[in-house]
Amino acid sequence: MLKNLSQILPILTTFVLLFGQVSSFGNSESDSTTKNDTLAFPEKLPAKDTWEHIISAPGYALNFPFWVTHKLIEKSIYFVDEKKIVPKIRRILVSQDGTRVIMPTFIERVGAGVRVRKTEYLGNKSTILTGGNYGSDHRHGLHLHLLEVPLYQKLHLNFTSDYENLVEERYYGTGSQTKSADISNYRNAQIISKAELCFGLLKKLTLNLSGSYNYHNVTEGKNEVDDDDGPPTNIKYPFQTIGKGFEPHINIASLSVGATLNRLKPEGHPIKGTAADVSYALFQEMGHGNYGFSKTTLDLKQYFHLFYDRTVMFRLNSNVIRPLRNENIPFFYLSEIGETGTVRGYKRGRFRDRDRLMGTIEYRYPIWSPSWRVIEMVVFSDIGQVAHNIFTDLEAENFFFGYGFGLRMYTELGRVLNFEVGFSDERIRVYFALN
Amino acid sequence: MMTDNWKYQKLITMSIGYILKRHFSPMYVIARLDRAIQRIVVRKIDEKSRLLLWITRSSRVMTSLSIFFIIMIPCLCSFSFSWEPYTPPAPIPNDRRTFPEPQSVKVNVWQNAYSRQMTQTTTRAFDFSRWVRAIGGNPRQALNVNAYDEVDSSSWFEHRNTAQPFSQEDIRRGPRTIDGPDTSGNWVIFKVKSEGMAPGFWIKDAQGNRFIIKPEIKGYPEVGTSAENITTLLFYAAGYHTPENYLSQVRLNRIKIKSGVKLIDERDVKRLMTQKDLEAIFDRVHVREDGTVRVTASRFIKGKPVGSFSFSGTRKDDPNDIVPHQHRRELRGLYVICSWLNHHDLNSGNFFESYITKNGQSYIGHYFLDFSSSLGASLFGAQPLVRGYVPLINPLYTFIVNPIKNWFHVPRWESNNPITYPAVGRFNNHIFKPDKFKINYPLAAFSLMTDRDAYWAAKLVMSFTDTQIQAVVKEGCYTDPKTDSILANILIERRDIIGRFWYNRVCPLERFRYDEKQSKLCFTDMGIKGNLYTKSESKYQYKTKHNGKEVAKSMTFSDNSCLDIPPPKPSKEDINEIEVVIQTARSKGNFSKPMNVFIQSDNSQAFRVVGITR
Repeated sequence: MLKNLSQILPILTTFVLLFGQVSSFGNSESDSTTKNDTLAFPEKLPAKDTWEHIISAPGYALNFPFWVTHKLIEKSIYFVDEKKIVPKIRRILVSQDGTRVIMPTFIERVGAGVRVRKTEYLGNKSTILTGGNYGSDHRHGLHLHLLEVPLYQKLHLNFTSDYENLVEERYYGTGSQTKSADISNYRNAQIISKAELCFGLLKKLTLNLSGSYNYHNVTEGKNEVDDDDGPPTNIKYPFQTIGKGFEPHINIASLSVGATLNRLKPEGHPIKGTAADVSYALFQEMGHGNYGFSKTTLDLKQYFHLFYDRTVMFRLNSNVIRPLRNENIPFFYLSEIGETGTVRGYKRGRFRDRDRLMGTIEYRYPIWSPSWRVIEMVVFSDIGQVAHNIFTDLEAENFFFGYGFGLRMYTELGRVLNFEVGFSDERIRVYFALN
Repeated sequence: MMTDNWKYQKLITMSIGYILKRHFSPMYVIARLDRAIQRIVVRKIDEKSRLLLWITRSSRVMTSLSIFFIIMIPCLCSFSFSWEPYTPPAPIPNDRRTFPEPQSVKVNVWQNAYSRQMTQTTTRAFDFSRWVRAIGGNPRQALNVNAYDEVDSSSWFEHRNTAQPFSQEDIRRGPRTIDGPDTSGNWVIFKVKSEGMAPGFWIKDAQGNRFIIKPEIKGYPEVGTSAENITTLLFYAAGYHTPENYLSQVRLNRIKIKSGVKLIDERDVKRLMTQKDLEAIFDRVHVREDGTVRVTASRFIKGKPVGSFSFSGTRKDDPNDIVPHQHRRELRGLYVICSWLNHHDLNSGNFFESYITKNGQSYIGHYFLDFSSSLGASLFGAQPLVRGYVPLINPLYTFIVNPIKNWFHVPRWESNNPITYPAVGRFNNHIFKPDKFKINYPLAAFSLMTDRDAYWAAKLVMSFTDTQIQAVVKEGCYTDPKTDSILANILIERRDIIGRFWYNRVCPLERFRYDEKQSKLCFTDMGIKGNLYTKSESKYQYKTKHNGKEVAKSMTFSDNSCLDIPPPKPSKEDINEIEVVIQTARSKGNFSKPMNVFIQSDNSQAFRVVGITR
């Protein structure tokens, strides 16, 4: 039957083509005379000729799934707009005076969540941020930040407290020669509470003095990697030999002094200016005194506005960590390459050592600007190294190199969405962050 | 947008014609296919399966023929192997005939925007017939054109300035029938739009006329309201239907609220409007030094609102609406008008249909509304850089083209698009390219626009004289007189850019007259008429055919607008036809795409021009 149909179909097609054409070309004049003469309304003209329909038939078939999808989206848009769902959600998320905002967030280490931001809470510039995140394997975090609480004239207070249960942290050993397969996991439940006094020395320069209390409970992890790393990994570092710091209930206090320079313009979406952060911090374990170290941090960012919303950013970052007396440094306090904001393209915690030196160059350009820059493309390259002592142990062949591209979306609040793909000689890693 | 690359088309059609005539007559093709298939099949099938062989062979031949015709029919259709006299296209019936009042149709603006940007764009990409037509250089032409490649007046369009040039008074009056809202009495608000950035009111004046008023926003005087007034007048004079828009100044204490008027507040709650709400809205409007507020007052369109029209398909419940909108020339050509006036905000909310009664007939009239985002202006000052140059949302460009292209490339709209003048906004002509204009969301009619459609619309644009444009700009009522001359000059220059561009895409000759006694075919060169070119730099090339046979070889002449075409001797054919194929060139440029002029006589009457094709 089907075979017969396949034989008849071409014949029919030919006839339709031939006679369809003839009729459609031939009837125009005679039709028009009757249309003019009669009071009846004429028939609507076809948008396409018969041969056009036949030629387009395969295209219609190919387009059908897209068409259905588009129609569903159209219906959804209609529903959302007619039911005023967006304003309703907006009313829930943003207060009437605009000072309270509820935002969805996504942070790679702790998963998805919500954050509540309330401005003008304890003063004009003060902000209170609170929220929680939850992710796979019960990783979660809770945050409370009180920012820019005015105290006296140019003096203000920042108070932050973060609880995070990080269930799948990675340890690959110490130094820059570790192998990607030599991995073990650990779990770190931590509370970091910090109070910081800030004094506005100059318009853009702030001096900071802060004290913090850090609690860590480091235990065994799942000891498996459930991302795309492939087969089960070698456990080169059993938990017992991970290093100093693998123990429950570590209480550390710290005291820090520093200075912050912020000359970025505009602040939330800089295209030019300088941002610098220098700090020196002392960390000491409370009670036992096993751990004690100092940490010096330098972070310098320089933005250059090249031309027409094209911006290039250079970043230099360095950490120097030294033990105090004969005390130890917990391994999770060591400088890292692989965490977000370091050399992109490597796994989290891929390289650890006391010191770190790294640099970044980023080029940003707009790809969608309906009225102002909303979506930007970023192309970046990172280079960095961890070393026992960056002043004596830096070696050219030990530098790690990463590069990639990404998309960033901005609103009046600043950057709200970050999507980056980093490439390194070990792997490709995707970064995604929301709010 | 489809473009007619006539040289390319000519090369292809000549090649195909030669091959068809020499080697591919249908019988010859069938015989060849049959032999080829027989050779292949006979090798594989033994002698016992003759029936199967026959079936297979027949089906193969038919399949081959189907494919052959599918590919060749568009070409065959454009070819005529035997001469036939020119027959003018069927006239489109009058679409202003009475029919029962239709139901109002509600179109969701966002759904429509998505449909235009995504659904329709994807569907068009998979429309292979368009590809075939594009390859063959034979784009689908508008359906509502007459023998002279013109459109007749309809419920969509009326010949105004092109038919009889408007006087200065007429063009400044435009669609207005009264002097504007009566400012001597109170304006009573009977409906309000308080949400959004730009407030608006529905008011009734002391005379009982109803208007929608849009006040100027605080900090942005004149820009949007002036642009709206000027663009309305130009749209109307061009031939499209617009509301009666007036610029009016009113004191805020003249505006009162009718009892029972409700508004939707910030909490999205519908409640009664109070004086406090009105004051809150007034806080956002621009108050002039004399204490008045300037508003655009748009008079209610007569008739009953029945929804918004689409730029594709037809309205099912309107029996007058028989031409698919994407194939209406006035809608396709609107692209050129919009590019001239930088009117990019063509969302479905700005297309309006009203069931009106005129001259004893009740039908649907089609109107264009809201021109405040035109001429480089918006209600909030100058237009953003991208407007008119980039569609609002285009995922293909945003996520694929721009990341690659914008790497170090700076688009012209970004690098060379400053604010021209505070009250004018961002309206330039040095980076203006008539075929690169972009509206916020694509329209099917615009994507199908051909050179003929664009040329037709360019004639509308070119019909405006310098003095007409200067007169219209005065209706913007700019405080700074310098603004008038700046804006008028930009409009005049853009008009000429459009004229030069689209007139060069076709042979821009019009108004053919044949004088049999003097044996002359005279015409009007629109390029010369529009002062774009001089007579001395224009030359023409033509050849003539008598009943399909070439009787005069190609001849070139210049500095003249009449050809010597002697009438042929009477023939045995019912219709005696002279076909003149004519081309235009400017200075040392190439000759344009040819156009054909058909002069016919039925042997009893004098020869006369019966139609043209481009």
